[in-house]
Amino acid sequence: MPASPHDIQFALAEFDRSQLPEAQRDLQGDDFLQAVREHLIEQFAGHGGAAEVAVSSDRVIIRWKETSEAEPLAEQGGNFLKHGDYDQGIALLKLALKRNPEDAAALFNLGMGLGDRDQTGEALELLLRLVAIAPEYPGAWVALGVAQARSGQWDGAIHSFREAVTSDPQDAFARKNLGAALSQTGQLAEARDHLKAAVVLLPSDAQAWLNLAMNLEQSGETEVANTAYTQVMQLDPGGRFSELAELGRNRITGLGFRKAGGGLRPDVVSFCGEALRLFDGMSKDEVQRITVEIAMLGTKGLSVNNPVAKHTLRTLPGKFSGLHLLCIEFVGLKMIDPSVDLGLDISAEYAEACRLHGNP
Amino acid sequence: MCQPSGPGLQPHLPINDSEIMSYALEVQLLIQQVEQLSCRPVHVAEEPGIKVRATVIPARNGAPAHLVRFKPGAPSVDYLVASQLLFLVRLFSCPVAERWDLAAIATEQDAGIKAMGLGVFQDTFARAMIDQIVTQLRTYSIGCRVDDWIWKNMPGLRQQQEAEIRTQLAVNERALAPEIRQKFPKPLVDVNSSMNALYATMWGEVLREPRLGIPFAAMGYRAKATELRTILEEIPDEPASDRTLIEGWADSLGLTGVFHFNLYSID
Repeated sequence: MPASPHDIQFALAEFDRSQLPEAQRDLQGDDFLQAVREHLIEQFAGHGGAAEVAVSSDRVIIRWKETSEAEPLAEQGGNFLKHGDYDQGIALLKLALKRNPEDAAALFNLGMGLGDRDQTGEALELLLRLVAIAPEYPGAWVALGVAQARSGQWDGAIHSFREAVTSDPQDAFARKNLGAALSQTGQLAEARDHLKAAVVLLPSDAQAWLNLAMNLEQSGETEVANTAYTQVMQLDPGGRFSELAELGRNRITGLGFRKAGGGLRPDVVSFCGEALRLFDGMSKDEVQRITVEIAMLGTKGLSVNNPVAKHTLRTLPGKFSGLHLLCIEFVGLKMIDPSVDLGLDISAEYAEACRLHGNP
Repeated sequence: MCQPSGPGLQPHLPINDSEIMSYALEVQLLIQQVEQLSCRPVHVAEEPGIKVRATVIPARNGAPAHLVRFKPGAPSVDYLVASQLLFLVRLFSCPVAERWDLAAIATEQDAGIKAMGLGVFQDTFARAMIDQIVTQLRTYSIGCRVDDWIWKNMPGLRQQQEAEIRTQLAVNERALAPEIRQKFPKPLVDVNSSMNALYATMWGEVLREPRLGIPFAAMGYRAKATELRTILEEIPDEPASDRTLIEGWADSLGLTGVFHFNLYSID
C-alpha cells in the first residue's frame, strides 16, 4: 500500500554531521549544503521511488515520490539531467557508478552532465572509460568528442567524431560535430561535406545550418552562406543562433560593400547625407548620445538586409531601418572618433555624401 | 477462569452481542479472551472528540467494564480495537501480583519537568507533557509487542494495520518539521523522536521500506533507536516482562524516576 507523495522537512542545524564521510564533516556554506543533499539522495536511492532533496540555509526538504517500478539509477539520473536538475542528476549518477563502476549508462550521462557543467576533466575521464568499456554505446564517441572539443583537444575530438561516423554514417550529430570540428581546424572542404550531410539529416536544426553557413562564409561561398544564414533565422527566430546568423549576414553585406568598388549605393549615400544634416548644429554630446544608443542596439544585432524591419530610438524621433541606423552611427562615429571601425565599409558612400553636403 | 476477588463480584454490564458482532471475528475472539481473563466485560464504542485514534481504560477500582474507545469514522476500527484489547490481554495474562499501572506523583513529575526542560512552561502544561511522554513510553514499548503479534497472528487485519501504521509514520515524519520541534524543549523532543525513530526503522524493515528510517538517522537518532531496539530484543517477549521493558526504555531515554509502578487492581 504505497503512501502518497509527501514532504519531510527538518532543520538543517539538526542534521547529524557524523552521517557524512569523514572528509566532509567540517564543510561549511554551500559545500556543506551540497554534501547533505548528495548524502540524502544517496540514502534514498534505490528504494522503489524517487526522492527530491532540497537543502536551504536553514532546512532540509525531502519530497518522496513512490514509483511502481524502480528505474535504474543511471536512468533516474539521466532524467534529472534532461529536466535541468543537474545537482540531483549528477548525485544519482555518481551513486550508480559507485555501485557499478562499469555502468555504461551512468558513465555516459555523468560524462555529459559534468561536461555541461564545465567539469571537462572529469567528464573526459569518464567518457574515455566508456569508449574503452562499451565503444558501441549509443552516442559514446560523440559525447567524448564534444568533451575533447570543449577542452581544446581538437585532434582527439575529430578522431572521436570520425569513429562515430564510421560506426554509423547516418548519425546526424556525429556529422554535425565532425563538420564543426573540421571547420574549427581549417579543414573547410571536408567539413563542408559533413555539414551538408548533417542538415539533410537534421533539416530543422538551426545549429547545424549555422555551422554550415559559417563554413560556407569562411570558404568564400557568400551567396550560399547567406541563404543558409537565412534558414537559421527562420528556424530560430529571435534565438541565439539567429543572432549569430544575423551577424554573419551583416558581415557578408559588409563584404559586398567593400567588393562593390566604385559602384556607390544611393540609399547609403542618402542615409549618410541625412545624418550629416541631422548632426549639423548638434553638440558633440548630442551626437554621442544618438551614436551610443544605436551602438547599444547593434549589440543585439541590427539587420542591414531587411529594409522592412523598423527600429525606434529614445534620442531621435522616427522609425529607421537597420541600414539607416548603421549609416547614422557611421557618420556619428566619424565626428566623435574616426578611428573606430564599424565593420561595414561605407566610406565611399560617406565621402560622396560629404561632398554633396558641402563638406570637404 | 474468573474468581471472586472481593466481597462479591461486581455486577457486569450485559454484553451487547449485536455490538460485538459488528467487529471482525478476530476482534470478537479477543473481546471474549479479555472478558475471560479479567472477568469484566469489554465495552467498545466510538467517542466523539477523542484526541487519539483509540484508547483503552482497564476496569479499575470496581469499575464494571473495560472501555475501548475509538475516533468516530476511523477506517481501521478492527485493528484499532484489537491493538487496544491486546494491551489488556497482556495485562491480564500476568499473575495478579505482577499487573502494573504507571503512575506519577508530583515530585516525580517535577523531576520529569526538569529533565525534559519543561520548566519554562506553565505548570499544568508541563505536567500534561510529562504525562504524554510517559504514555508514549508505555504505548510504544508494549505497542511494539502488540503490533508484532497482530502482524504475525492476524493476517485478516494486516491491511488495516498497515494503513494505521503508515498514518502514524506520516504523523511522526511531520513532527520533524522545525516549526513543530521548536515549540518544545530539546530533551523532550529527543525522547519523542528516539521512539519515533525506532518505530520508523522497525516498520521500514517489516514493510520493506528502509527509507522510512532515513530522516531520523540523518538527524542523529539512529544510535538511540538501536539502543531501544536492543533492549526490546533482549527482554523476553512475555507479558510478565513488560514492566522490565518499560524500565529499560525509561533508563535509556532519561525517564527513570519520572513515574513509578502501582500494583494494578481491578477491584
